[in-house]
Amino acid sequence: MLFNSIEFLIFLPIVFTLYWAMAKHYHWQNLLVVVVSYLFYGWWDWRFLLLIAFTTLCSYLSGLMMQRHAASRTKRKIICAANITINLAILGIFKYYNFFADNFDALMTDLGLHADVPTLNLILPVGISFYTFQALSYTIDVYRGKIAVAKDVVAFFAFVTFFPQLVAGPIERASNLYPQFLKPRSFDYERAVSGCKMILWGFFKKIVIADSAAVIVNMVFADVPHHNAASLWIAAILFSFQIYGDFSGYSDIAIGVSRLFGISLMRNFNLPYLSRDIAEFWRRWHISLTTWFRDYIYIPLGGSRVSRWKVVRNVWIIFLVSGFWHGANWTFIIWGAYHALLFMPLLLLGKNRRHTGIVAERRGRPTASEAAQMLVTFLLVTIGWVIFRAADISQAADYIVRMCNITDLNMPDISKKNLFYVLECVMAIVLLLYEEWKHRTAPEAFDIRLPARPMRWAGYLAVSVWTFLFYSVGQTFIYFQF
Amino acid sequence: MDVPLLFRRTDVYLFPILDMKRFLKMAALFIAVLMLALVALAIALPYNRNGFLREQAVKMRMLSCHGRKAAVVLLGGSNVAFGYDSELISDSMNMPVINAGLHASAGLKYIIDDCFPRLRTGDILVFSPEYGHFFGKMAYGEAPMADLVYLSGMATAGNLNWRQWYALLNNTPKYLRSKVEYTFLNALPMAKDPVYCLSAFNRYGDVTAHWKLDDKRFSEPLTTSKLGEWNSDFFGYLIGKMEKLRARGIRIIVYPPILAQTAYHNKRLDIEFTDSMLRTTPFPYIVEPRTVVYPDSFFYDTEYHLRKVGAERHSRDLLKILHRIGTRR
Repeated sequence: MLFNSIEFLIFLPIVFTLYWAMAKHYHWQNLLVVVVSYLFYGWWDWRFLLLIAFTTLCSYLSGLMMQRHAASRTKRKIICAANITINLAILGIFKYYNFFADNFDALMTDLGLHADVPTLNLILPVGISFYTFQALSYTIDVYRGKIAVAKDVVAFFAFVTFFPQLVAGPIERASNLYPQFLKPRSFDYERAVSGCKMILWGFFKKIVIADSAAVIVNMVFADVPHHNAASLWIAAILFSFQIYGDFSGYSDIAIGVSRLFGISLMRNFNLPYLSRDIAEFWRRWHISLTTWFRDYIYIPLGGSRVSRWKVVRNVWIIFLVSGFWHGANWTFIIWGAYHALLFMPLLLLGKNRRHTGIVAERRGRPTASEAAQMLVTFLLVTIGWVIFRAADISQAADYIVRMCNITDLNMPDISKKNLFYVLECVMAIVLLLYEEWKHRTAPEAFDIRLPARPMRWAGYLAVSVWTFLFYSVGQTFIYFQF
Repeated sequence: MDVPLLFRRTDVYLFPILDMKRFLKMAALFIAVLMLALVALAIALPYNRNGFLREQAVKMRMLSCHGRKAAVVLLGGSNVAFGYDSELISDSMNMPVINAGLHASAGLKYIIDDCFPRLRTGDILVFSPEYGHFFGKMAYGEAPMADLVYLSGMATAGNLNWRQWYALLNNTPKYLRSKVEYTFLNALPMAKDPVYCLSAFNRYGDVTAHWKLDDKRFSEPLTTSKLGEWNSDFFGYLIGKMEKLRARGIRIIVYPPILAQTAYHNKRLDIEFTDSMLRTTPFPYIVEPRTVVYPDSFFYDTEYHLRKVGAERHSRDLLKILHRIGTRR
C-alpha cells in the first residue's frame, strides 16, 4: 500500500481508531500493529508476507538460541552467523543473483568461454533491504550483548514489521524501537499534532517536489543526446531534489504516522543539502543506513582506530557496499566509489569531522565561504546523482560529458509547457529550502510559527491545497526498489 | 506509598482521552476547512473554455438532438476522433454521420454509458474500442473520465461503478490542478496547442485541425509490450449492453481500431487475443485487425491518430465494409 493512495487514506483512520481503542492493552495494540502491517505489505503482494515472516522468525529464534547458549561465545557466534547468512542469502537471491549471473556470463564471454548461468525470473520484494537490515541489527546487537533478548514474540514481530517504516525505513535499531512495544503508550496531543505536520510536510516533498520533478527528469534522462547542457543541468538538479523529496518525504510520513501511534522513530535526514562538505553530507543523508554501516561494518573492521591505509580501505568498503545496497547495477557501485573518492581528500587531510554542527548555527546567514562550500558540495552531490539515476554507466558518462560542454549552455531546449512545470517545481523547492534554513537548528523542519492561530492555519491549509493539487495516481517511491 | 486508584486512572487514561477528543475535533475542523477551500477553488476557477474534452457535450448533444435522422455513429476513443473524414462517409452513404469518439482514457464504460442510451432505432454503430480497454482497469477510465464527469455537472455520475468512483476520486486533484494551470497559463502569452482543443473538431466531430500540420510524426521502436490482464468482468458488461442495443434495432459493427504498423507488431499477442474474444460474441461484422493496420507514416503523434491521408483511406475502407454488408439506404 502506498502512503499516497486512497487506500491509505482509509486505512490510517481505521487503524488509528482501533489502536487507541485498545489503549489499555498494549499487547493487543502490538497484535493489531502486526496484523495491519501485514495487510499494508500484503496489499502490494501477499506472497512476500511469508518472506518477512520467515526473516522475522529466524531473527527471533536466533535471539532465543543465543540466550540459551549464553555461556558459549562460539555457539553464539555460530547462531549469529547462521542468521546473518540466511538473511543475506534471501536478499542475495532476490536482489543480486541475476546481477552476478549476468556479469559472470559477460566475463566468461570476454574470456572466450561459454558459461550459460541461468537467470531467475523473480520479483524484487518491496523494501527487502530495509527490513532485512533491521532484523540483522537485532541479531548482531544480541550477539554483542548490547540489548536483551526479545521474548515477546508479538512485540518482536511488531518491531520488524511496523508498517510506517517497513518498506523504506528509517532502518530502526532494536534498542530504540523494540522497547517501545513493551510498554503502554498513551496518546499525546502535541506529539500527534507534530506527527500530522510531519506527514503534511512529507507529502509536500513527495507529491509537489519529487513527483513534479520526475516529469522533467524522466523526459530528459530518456533522451539524453537530444538535450543541451542547460537542460541536462536542470534535470540533474531537479533529480537531486526529486530523490531528496521522495526519500526524505517518505521518512517524514513514516515518522509522522508513527507519532500518531505514540511511537518515536529516528531522524533519517538532517538537512543534507546544507552540508559544507561530503563528509557532512553523509552524516545528514539517510542517517539510519549510514549509521548501520558504521556500527556493523566500519567499526568491526577497525573503524578509524587502525593504520591509515586500513582506514582508507574501510572507507572504500563502506561506500562501495552502500552503493551496492541500493541495487544490483554498476551505476550504484560507481556512485559509491565516486563518493569515496570525494571523501578521500577530507580523510587524508584529517578534515572529515570539520563540520559537525549545522551551518550558521547562531547566525542568520552563512558567510560567503560557507555559501560557496554548500554550493560546491551540492554540485558534487548532483553529479553523483546523475550516475545514480542513469540507466547504465555509458549513459552516466555521456550525460556528465554533455553537462560539462560549456559551448552547449544555451537556453534549455525544453518546451514552454515543461518549463512551466520546472517553474512550479522551483517554487516548491524555494519553500523547502526556506523552511529547512529557517528551522535548521530546530528538531522539526516544518513548523509555521505565526502569532495568530488563523494565520498558522492559513499556512498549513495553503501547503495542504498545494499538495492536493499536485497529487497524481500511482506515483511510487524511488527507494521501494532498494 | 499506594497512589489512590482514582488518581492513577486519571493520570493514565483521562488526559489521553481529553487529548484525543481535542485532536479529533481539530483534525475534523482542519479537514472540513480544507474541503471547503478545495470546493471554493473548484467553483471559482474556470475549466479550459477551449478544452478538448468539452467536445463530449457537443457530440452527445448531436446524438440526443430531437428529431435527428438515423445516422452512422462512430464510437471509440481518440482513434475514432482522429480516424475519419466523416463528410466523405456521409456523402457516400447519403445519411448523417456523427463521430462520437473522443478520448480512450475516458474509459470504455463511461463512453458506452454516456452514448448508448442516445442511440436510436435505425442507427448504425461503428464501434471501435481501443485494445487497452479490454485489459487492466482502462475500461473504467483515468483523468479524462473525471474531467468529463465534472464537466457534465455530475449528471453522468449516476452511471459510475465503484471502480470509476475510485478513479474519479484519484483524478479529482488533477482536474482541479488543470483549472489552476489554465488560469495561470491562459494569462501568459504562450502559443496554444491547435490540435488538442475544442476548436480542432469539424461539425461531424472529427479532429481535423492537424490535417494541415506537419509538426509531429509518430514513431515507436519495435518492442513487445503487454497490455495487462484481460478484463473479463467488463467484457461481459459490454456484451450485455450491446445485446440491449441490438434489441432496440441498432445495427452494430465492431470495427477494430486503426493502428500503426509498429504498434501492431508490438502489441500483436494482445490484439490477436482480443480479436479471438470478440469473435466469440454474437456480433458478426468483425474485420480482421490486420486489415486496419496502416503504415506509420499515416499517423500524426500517436499510433492511433491518423493524418488526413490516413483518415481518408480509413473512411474509404469503412465505406467498403458498410456497402458490403448492405447498410446503404
